Amino acid sequence: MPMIKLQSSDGEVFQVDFEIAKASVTIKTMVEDLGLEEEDEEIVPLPNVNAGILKKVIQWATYHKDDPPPPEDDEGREKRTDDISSWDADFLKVDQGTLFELILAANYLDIKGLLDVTCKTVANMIKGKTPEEIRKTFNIKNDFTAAEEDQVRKENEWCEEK
Amino acid sequence: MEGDQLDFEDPSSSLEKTDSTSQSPTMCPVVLEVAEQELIIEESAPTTDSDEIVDETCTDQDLYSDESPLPGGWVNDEWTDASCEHEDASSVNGVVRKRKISNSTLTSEDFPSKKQYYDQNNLTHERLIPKLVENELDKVDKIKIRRSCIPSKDNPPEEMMEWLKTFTKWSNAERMLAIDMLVDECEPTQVRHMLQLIEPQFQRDFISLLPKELALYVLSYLEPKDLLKAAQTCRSWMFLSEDNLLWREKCLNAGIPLMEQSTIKCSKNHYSTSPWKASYMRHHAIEMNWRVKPIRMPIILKGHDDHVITCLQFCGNQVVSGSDDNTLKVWSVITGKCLRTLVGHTGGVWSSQMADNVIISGSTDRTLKVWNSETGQCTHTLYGHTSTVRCMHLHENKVVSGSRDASLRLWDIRTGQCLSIFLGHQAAVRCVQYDGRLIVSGAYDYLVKVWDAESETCLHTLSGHTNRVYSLQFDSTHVVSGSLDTSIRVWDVETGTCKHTLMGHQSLTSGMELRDNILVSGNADSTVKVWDILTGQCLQTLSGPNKHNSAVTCLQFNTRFVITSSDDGTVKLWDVKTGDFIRNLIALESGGSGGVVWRIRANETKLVCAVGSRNGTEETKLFVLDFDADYK
Repeated sequence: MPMIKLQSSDGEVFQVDFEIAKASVTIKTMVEDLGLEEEDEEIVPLPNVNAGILKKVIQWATYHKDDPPPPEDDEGREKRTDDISSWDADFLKVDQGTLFELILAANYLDIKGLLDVTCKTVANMIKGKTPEEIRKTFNIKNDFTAAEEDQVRKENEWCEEK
Repeated sequence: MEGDQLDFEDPSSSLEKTDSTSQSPTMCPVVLEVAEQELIIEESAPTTDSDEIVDETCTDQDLYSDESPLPGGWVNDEWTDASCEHEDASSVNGVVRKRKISNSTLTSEDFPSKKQYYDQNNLTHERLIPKLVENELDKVDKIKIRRSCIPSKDNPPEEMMEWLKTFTKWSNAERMLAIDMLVDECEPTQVRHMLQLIEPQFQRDFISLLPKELALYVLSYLEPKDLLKAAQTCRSWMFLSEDNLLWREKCLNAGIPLMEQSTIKCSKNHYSTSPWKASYMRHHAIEMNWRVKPIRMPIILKGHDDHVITCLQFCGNQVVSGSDDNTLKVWSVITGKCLRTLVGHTGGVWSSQMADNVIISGSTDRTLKVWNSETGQCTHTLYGHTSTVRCMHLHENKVVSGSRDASLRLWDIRTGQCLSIFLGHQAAVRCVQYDGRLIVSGAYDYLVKVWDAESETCLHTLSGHTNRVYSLQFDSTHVVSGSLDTSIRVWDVETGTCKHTLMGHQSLTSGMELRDNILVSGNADSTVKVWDILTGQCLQTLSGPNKHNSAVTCLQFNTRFVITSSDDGTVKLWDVKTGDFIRNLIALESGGSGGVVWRIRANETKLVCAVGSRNGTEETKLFVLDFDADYK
């Protein structure tokens, strides 16, 4: 199977099965544009992804290599966050800094499946929480004045059924 | 307290005591230290009343921890331990020496919080300088004194710098070991302090820090109620949570249209600028008004004396009621006033249609009348039927009427001309539907017929019912017929074949509504059923302990609710998806003893009900219930 070499921002080189690396539309396009061949010793530089994160991304793409391509258009469909597979949930049991980097990497590398599951994970960290709990979760400083906070609370009141 | 002040005054060489003492005579016991001509003031807890002080200091901590002026957060979080810590403090090194002063008369009231202290002394955090003492990093009190020569993080004790310098010289492995050993040395409270310092390092404010489009992508996975919570966390979250396209998506998913801007009432200080969000919020508020909020007093429209209201139309802000008193009345649902009474029929009115400013009525006097609702004038009287006009359906400028004379007639309402006559039924025509091309009729001859309006021919005769046909729905693809034989049949209008026979009701299906292949049927057996006409499956039966106690008279549904009325004198609200009873919107006191609800009509925000009785227990009238809401 053809392999491809990916170089992280901090200089580490990873040899990856091209079929797996193709999960990244960015890499796929780069390879096609450069016309890289199997024997080529050329290295694809990924200046926006460090070795730690690239390793995680490759791990994710390897596990998901046989997944069907994710649906393109999300418009009009109810967005669910309760459909994260247990493997992905385990894979994403990381600190917020790593999750943050993974989102940026998934976006830069254009891996929709990874972007979706990481963003869903963050959404799940927000869901069902009070504003104060959200602040605590993400270390957010409340920069509203007391009057503003009062006004914003009134505007965003949500009448519950029960 | 005098002792404290003395201590302040003593080293008067450098301390600006006005700030720290004169305005705050009840300041807590203070430890003064002299170190190389620099003054250090330290707050320490008194040795008594410690319980009360714990409370006080906790409050202080809560306030203070958010306001740490330095990133390192040299916050004393262990005031209660302070007294014992101070006892060790003198041995830290030879330079810093501490003296603790205790005051046994202090109470918690005498012991202002740090916050209060700042406020009283008009000090700002920028000018407040913490100091470092005690064994290393952890046991540090934050002090504020208006002096620049006090040790701070920018100006820490020399030996601490050396200690840090040593640390930085080490290799990674050495540092790791040092940290291990440091943690081992620490008290649990100090480890907890470390944790508080370290934890935020691993937190990320995703929404504020991610590129906008990615932050919005994360937010797009939130449900509206979580978006509203997110908006309340801070400014940057609020800004993104108000994104108009985000709310557009939420509206599209929920089938909520963009409401007219004129209906959005904004207060001056309104932060939200998204019209889609305003639409969503208003829609939700209206839904809650239907579901749970106290029902406002209805407007009551009295008329038709003790006669029966036989038909009801609701269009814009006008309601038209037809009665067996031979008249129709036009009402304003805004003012509750009867605008006009349409007089002219010589028999009871049993059917009506309404569009814009035109009203059409059918009567036992064998005629149809076309009325101008603005003026109340009868513009045409349509003669031709030889018996009661029992049903009609208006499409644009044409109306089809069905009569007890077993015929159907197509009329032009602008000219009053009869365009065609449809003969073929063997008994009274009870119900009719017309889509501009095809006419579908149901009759007491058990048959349903499909007619081509243009060629005036009968395309299909749909036979199968074993009793009179009372109700029809037609969406240009499917014909649905309800019969006294208790079944409902679904027919293909093109082929004329029966696709499904919906069984389950026990009696006459009197009213139905069909939309997007969902059929809701109301039955004299006092239940209502929700069907999928493509599969023929019964999705829900609206019954249970809160079911109607008598025949269902009328119903209407949308994507959320089914509203049903009954001879039991109630109007009930149901959840269309779950089939759950939500609540009674109307419950006549005379229900069960004669009071009935004959007809209902609703739009998104208003419900009109025609109620009365045949035995005089309930006066004939219309109720108008308002469920509208402003988005604040």
